[in-house]
Amino acid sequence: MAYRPRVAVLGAGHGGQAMAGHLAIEGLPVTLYNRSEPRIAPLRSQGGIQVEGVVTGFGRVQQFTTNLAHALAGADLIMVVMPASAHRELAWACAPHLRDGQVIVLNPGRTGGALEFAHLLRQAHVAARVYVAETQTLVYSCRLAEDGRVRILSLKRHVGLAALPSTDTDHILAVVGPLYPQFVPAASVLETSLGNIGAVFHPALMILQAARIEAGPPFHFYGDVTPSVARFLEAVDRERLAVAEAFRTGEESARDWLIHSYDGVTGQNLYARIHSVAAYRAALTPTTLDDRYLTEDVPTGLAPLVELAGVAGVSTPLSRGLVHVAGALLGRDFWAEGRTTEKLGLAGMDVEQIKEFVNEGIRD
Amino acid sequence: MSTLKVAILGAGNGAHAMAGHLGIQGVPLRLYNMFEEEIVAMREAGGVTVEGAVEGFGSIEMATTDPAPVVGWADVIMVVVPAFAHRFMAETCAPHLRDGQIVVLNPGRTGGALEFANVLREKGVRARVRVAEAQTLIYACRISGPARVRIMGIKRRVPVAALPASDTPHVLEAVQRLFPEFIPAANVLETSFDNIGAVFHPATMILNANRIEAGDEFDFYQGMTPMVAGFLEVVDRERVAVAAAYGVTVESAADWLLQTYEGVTGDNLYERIQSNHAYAGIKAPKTLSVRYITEDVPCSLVPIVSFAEAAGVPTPASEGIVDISCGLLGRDFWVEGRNRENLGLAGLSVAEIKALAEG
Repeated sequence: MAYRPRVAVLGAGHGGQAMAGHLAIEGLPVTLYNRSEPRIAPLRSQGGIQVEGVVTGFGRVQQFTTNLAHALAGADLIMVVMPASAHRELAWACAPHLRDGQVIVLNPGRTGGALEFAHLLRQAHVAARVYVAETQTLVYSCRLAEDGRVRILSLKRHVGLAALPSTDTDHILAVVGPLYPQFVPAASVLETSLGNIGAVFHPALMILQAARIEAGPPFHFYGDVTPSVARFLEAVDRERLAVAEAFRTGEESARDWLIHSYDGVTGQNLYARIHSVAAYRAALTPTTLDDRYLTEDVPTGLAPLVELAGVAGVSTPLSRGLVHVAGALLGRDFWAEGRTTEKLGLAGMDVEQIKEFVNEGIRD
Repeated sequence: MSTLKVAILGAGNGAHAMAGHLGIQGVPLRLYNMFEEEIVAMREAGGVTVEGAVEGFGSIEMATTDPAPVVGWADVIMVVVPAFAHRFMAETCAPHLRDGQIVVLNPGRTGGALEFANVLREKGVRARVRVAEAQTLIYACRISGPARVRIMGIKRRVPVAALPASDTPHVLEAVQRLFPEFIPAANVLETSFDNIGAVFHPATMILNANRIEAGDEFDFYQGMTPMVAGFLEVVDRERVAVAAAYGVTVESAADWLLQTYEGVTGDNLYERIQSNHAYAGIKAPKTLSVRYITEDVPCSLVPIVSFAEAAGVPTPASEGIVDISCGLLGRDFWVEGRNRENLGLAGLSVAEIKALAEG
């Protein structure tokens, strides 16, 4: 690798530790930032991250820090690996420390991540010329065995990446492409954002299994999915596809996405395909309803989907209903907390203006 | 006082109980039902055998799938069918109604009398018919065999309101001869908003949907975990708020449990549900296509949301449950259910709706 960008990985959860460990093993200078100290203290004391699975080795991380300014200071590439619900606060915190030429990639952005991040940088009057992109999903399937020891089960074969605006995508891929050949250009952040399959599967399955999840013990999240529930997921997915259609981004259905994302998937409908995914057979339910499957996938998945649908005049009653019910279950207002067109910097724009903005960066 | 002739429309648990119970008292009865197979045994037996809180054999003059000799003949028409069949029953009755008849929906759920009256208007019925709705079915009962029903209990007080409320005294004067348990409610808004099933049934179905369809065996109340019960309280607060917007005070679901059942304790809905021994043994359904959704969504939640829209009261949790029910069952309950058009309330303000209810 000729060019070796200095990388700041922001977030030391499963994905952040996998990425920091992996890139360090590849020989890149890596800084790992986390907001709270307890998470990274054991990593610092061992000087790096032990990686197992499809990647093996000890990744020596140059710096572990809870100081965002330090993390960003020397970085060429800023890889954000945090729940999307934390992107907003992170953008504010990053704003004062950014400098010309830095590349920020949200891994992943969920729905509207790059739009929200960039809008906040504008609101914070960031003068530096930074590049902001989002991926459609996290490139790793991984699990922390314990802090400092992560198992990478697989790297996804293809992960769409788009910059905001799309005219920056080539530049960003020139920086991260050598690190991740899996990254492929997506047409725009609308494509990566509307390719949010988690928003289709997670909240609906949490709600339609809510009582049993709360009562415990954990069971297989996808294992007992019934025909009606699978049809419901397909109906939610059709809403997502209808929004994508209105913005003319080519999106794969969830049912086809399963075929392309996992080996050995069979069957015609979503019900059969979900039950043929080997990886799903091991996936357990969360132990509480207060989980990212709702607290992240509703405000940064379904809520912005409904918002974009509103702009396009597409009706999304099921997604809307899930947001209502998730909010009432958790006693939160996910419409207010979530990504609105306002927060995405799209207030008052129509479909054409949004497309022009995400493609060219032009705002009327 | 002449003997009231009573038509019973329907042939389910409640209709069997009412036919047997009134028949034992010698009330002249005829029964109409849409489906022949549900009334064959009753016709052959000449009535219904009742066991339980009431015992005996109640005779009926006629059990038929022809509405003409039943509806036209009666003084009082007792409709004892799921609320989603009220529209069909109104359409069926329309050509046969005459001046002075009384129709009572047992029960109306939310907006039953309004919808029934609206259908009669749509059908151009000129006869002066009084339409009323009961807040609940007076019987706790189950069909226990062919032409046989077990009545577990008869409720002590059942609020009834006519549409408009100015007709309630006249209606009650007649039907109290059959059911002294019927007491006047303020108006149909009160009987309509006093609908606890709207709160408990659809939401608990949705939040347990997957295991219900999977055929898990569990008591329905066990599906009301702490956060699910918290959700039910949100739905209940929406119902109470809509009622308040129409000047109607309804009891909260949590207080209703305390008032209705013995031995209920606790401060919140979750504790009160879990302490209610009457809920033990009531099994969850094993399919999603049951009245907890197919009746309580279109005939309870949809009209509550419709009333809320007219009053500008937000009801996101109730709406969300309707939306998800539509997706799960592949039906549009917003269209088939009691929306403002179907209730005859399109374009009316809260004041106009209240005036309609009061007369």
